Amino acid sequence: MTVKKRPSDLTSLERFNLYYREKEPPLTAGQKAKRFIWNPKTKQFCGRTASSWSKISLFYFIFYAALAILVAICMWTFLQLLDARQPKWQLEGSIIGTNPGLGFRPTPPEVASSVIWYKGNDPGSYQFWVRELSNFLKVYKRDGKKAGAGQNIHNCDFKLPAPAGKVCDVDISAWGPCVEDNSFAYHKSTPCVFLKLNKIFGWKPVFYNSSDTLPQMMPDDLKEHIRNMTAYDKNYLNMVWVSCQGENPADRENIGPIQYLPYRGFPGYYFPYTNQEGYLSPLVAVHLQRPKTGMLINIECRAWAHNIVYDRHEGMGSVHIEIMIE
Amino acid sequence: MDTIIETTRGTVKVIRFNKPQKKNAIDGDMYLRVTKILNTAASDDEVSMVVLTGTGDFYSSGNDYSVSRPEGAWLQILGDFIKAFITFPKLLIAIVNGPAIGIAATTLALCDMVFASENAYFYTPFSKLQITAEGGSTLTFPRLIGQRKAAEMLLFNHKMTAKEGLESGFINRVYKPEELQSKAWEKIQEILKSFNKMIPMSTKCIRDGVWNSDLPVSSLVKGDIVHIKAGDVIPADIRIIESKGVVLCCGDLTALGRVAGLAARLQPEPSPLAREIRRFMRYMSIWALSLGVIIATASIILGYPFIQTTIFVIGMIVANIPEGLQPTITASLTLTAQRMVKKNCLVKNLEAIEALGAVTTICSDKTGTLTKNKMCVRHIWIWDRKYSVADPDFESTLQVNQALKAIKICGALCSTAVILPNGDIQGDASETAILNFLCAYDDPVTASVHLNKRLSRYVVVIKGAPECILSRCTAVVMENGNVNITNEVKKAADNATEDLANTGERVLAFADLILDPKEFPMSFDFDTEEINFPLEGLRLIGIIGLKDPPRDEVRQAIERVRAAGIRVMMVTGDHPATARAVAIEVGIATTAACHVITGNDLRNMTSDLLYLTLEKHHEIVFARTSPTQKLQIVEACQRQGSVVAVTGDGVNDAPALRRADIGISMGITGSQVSKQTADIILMDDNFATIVLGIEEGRKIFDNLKKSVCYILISNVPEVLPVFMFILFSIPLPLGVMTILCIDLGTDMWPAVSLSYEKAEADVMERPPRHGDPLVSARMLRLVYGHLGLIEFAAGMYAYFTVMAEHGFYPADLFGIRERWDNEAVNDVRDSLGQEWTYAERKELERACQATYFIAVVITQMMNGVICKTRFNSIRDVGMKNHVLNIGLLFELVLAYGLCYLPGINNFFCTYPLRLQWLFLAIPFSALLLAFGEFRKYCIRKKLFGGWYNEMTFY
Repeated sequence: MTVKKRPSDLTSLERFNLYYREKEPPLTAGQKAKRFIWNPKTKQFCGRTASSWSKISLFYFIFYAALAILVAICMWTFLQLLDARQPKWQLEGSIIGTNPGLGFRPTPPEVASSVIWYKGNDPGSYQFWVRELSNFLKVYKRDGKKAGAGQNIHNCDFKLPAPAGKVCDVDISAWGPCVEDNSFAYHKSTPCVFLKLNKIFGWKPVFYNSSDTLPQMMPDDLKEHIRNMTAYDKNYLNMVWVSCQGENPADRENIGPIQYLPYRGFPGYYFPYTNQEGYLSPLVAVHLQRPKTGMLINIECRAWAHNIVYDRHEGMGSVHIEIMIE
Repeated sequence: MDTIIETTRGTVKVIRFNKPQKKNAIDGDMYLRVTKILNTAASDDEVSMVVLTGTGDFYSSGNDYSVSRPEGAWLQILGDFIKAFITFPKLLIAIVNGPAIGIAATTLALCDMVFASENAYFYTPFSKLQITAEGGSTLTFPRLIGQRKAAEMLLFNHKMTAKEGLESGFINRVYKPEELQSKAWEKIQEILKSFNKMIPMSTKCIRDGVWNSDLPVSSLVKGDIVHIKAGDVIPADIRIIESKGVVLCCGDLTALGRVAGLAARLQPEPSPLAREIRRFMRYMSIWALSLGVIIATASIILGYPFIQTTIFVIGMIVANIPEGLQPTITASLTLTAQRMVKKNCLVKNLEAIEALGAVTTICSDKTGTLTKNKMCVRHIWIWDRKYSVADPDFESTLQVNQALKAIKICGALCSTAVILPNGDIQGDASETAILNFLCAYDDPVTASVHLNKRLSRYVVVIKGAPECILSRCTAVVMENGNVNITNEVKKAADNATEDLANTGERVLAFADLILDPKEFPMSFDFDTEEINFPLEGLRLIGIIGLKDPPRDEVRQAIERVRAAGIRVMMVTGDHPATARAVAIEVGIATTAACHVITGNDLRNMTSDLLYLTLEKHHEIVFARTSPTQKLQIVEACQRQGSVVAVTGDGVNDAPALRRADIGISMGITGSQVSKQTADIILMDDNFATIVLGIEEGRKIFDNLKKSVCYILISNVPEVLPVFMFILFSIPLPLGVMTILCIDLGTDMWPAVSLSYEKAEADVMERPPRHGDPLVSARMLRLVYGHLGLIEFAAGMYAYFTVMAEHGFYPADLFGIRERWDNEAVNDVRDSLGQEWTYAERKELERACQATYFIAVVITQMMNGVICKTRFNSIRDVGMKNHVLNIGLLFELVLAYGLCYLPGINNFFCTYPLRLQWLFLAIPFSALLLAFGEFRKYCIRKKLFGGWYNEMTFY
């Protein structure tokens, strides 16, 4: 670095030179820019010589490398402390909480939309939804030829929960009209919508342990259904029940009868989710058997268990679906 | 008993309401009395001001309703009373010894100054009495205290306490009741004193052949013949005829008037700081706006709704505008101004103190600033040798040396100065100096009286320029008698004269001649006009060298100023030799060959030549210059790009003071005009104070740099998250609300408190900041390339940590944005298969943003510590700035408050964090400190060939 001399430090000769030095002719802006990019006199590129550039690059390389290494060390140390199989914070400790959300398939292509809209007699129109569902259900299709994937899958029953290290099967092949071969009944203007409960690590539903203590809010037909089912087998109480109905009185008329497959809920043996290998979320296929066409139907589906809190405004414990079949 | 007591104190008329049994309520009679006194005083030249006060513990309780009113005339009386107040042409002062109610309060508003005791209050319950507010109060009150206060008082019967009155500007001072009279009168005396200076001087003149011995200067007209004598102030532009002068021009038309007019016309340049701030703000705005445009474009392309985009853009702009700068500047300047007042330096224009730090050239006048403005006898030459008054054995020599005794006698007799009865000496500077000198060693009064009687013959005593005196001398006094003068003695005397003159002393030779009593008997009538006595064949007594000595501390001060790379030039009206000698003595010139330019030279110079001369010679002394030339010099320096400080005390210095970047006037000798024009007033007239000012000014700029650096650093972790969001599609790491929290909340106090930092070691050892901007490329490099990025890394680390602890590993976050921000997607899957609803995701996002915010706050706290110094190590400086310490603590507490207080955290989109998330930024804080200290170490030691100095030494 050259120390800039103060005028008082200069000898009279230096001051003379400073004063009588030849003034360079003024440059145009273009010339100035050109000289800035490459100055042949000083061999400067963009105001710096090659050695200056290499020094500065070296400095920044070292500096950023050091910074990156620090971040990496911190991140790595931190990730080492985490369990790769389970989240550090679970259930109440985590922000995800203990209230799993309800989701549906197929999802509409538009951002922030929940409308399933198609023309019943136009294959091009409903193909999208069928393809969407097929994609979603791909993981559920058991391929007998693949040895590894299906190894720990177990056919569960209420009496036969999955043994340790195994997961319960979701058999989508036997769900009546809601199968891919039937185009999920979209072409008949009686579409199937699949419901799923969000996975939360370690979450166990608290079931209604008797058909007499069902909540008041529960639709009567569901209550009736539960009584019928439990009368037949008490084990069916271990179920996260699902109900779908029109949001408004008009919707309730338009929606028509609904069929739930395979059960009217998510059987309890699928829970808890503990990040098991090959775990499949249980599904409920909701088959609208005779929806009115040509109008928008608002449907609200709700999951029922003691520990599923419902708040329509916040969208907790329920999902909002709109269907429009032309 | 008299209800109004009228007394006179000097030129002050005192009116006292004296009806304590009725709380000094005013009745018709009293109204008439006061009106009459005021009207008489208005035209009485003996009265300079009127003071109103009351007896007892009430000033006045307003109208006295108990006394029967003179019907009909009542309104007339009141009207005249108020009118007397309004039209009173002189100073009207009220000493409010207690409550003032009704009309007593409204007349206070018509007084020029009001001093009140603490127990006073002001009460105007007109609306309660259902009468209109009187005494012009509806006009005067709003002007004095503002519309709102006035309405409160006049319409809603608010009782204003003395304290409130002081705050709202209704009164000037509040004193304790027991001190009121003494303090108020002290103040009045002070005002009277300043009056005397303002009071126009009078002069003796002949007009229309009539002798006026006491005519005010302001009433002089062209053609008047004024008499002046030594020591008088010339009252107008006059042409001297014999010993009188004919007035040619007066008032604004005089040379001095033109100079004053010139000062008023000149516009000062904006201060360097103002220029710097404006430039910085312009760049910052352009930068912020262009960032805003980039973000807006990106945001629209990504399909965000308009409202969201607007919020982003506002956030970006707010993040980039340094909101803390203005309060920091104000705090710095005010603090320094207060400190400077304690050091006898009154700062009138706050920005001037910073400009003083940037100063590159000081044009100092000589007399009074560099020197003591007091002529002193410095040397005495007697036939064979030179005696220095400063010698310690001078006094003993004086006792025995015959010649020195003779010079004393001669000096005392041959003087036009007179000693006033109180011991003061009046006369021109040299005469006064000689008498002063004699006073110090003898009593000149007795000497002169005795001499005449004892010798009973006449002695001619003469003093004057040595060359005139010497040629008339034939003898010289030796230690014990007279000898005839020889060529050697003459030569010695010439040499001595030249010696003394070269050191800038004014040289006077003394000689005498004892006249023959026969030729000149006691009755001889001497005539000094047509000399009828011999002035040849004198006896040379000696030569005296007089000088205005430099102030003691000036030399050292100039040394420091020069070390700080500032050029000091002397601009004086004095003789070139004197100027040069003083310049050498105080260190303005280091060699005797310093360049001296006289006013005549200057007049013949073109502005280009002056410019070149200033560039060519570093040490320049301007001598025999006129005030307009001072202005010319200042302008030439400014054309060179210098920041110029000018000192001056006279009226004629005003234009230069106004034009200079910093005008410095003198508190003691300075004229009113120069004080009004100046930015800074040195209360003790001492040049050394300027050095303190320079140091303070530089400190201000340094501290501003630190503050700006601190403010800018947090921009980086505020801006980059948005880019991360756009480029890598991760959930937004820092929300707009939290950006506002940092910029307008947590950063504010520490930024301002950096202005309380002490000056650094190098502050007076570097050249002035010439073209060194507030925000340099070096600072930007440091902020955006180094420190800011560390903060950003800390924030991102904190953000990723919280995400990972909840199951979103960093790798899975990239590209997640579209699903993450989609309200319809209710099941976004994390790295562990859990599925998150929209509300849950947004809550997690808030937690992450809050952690990022805390990380930024914690690293900013460390940055506060780093920014304390630019050059010194923290270890040496210590954490002694308690304002900053508390500020850092406040920053932390505020940040936690924003996170944990319910309601507040919802509003600012923060989140009550887990304890361990608060410490995530600690390693990065440590890195910041280590890097900062390493950097400063390298800067101090100039390691790596000064690499760091060039890169990051802002």
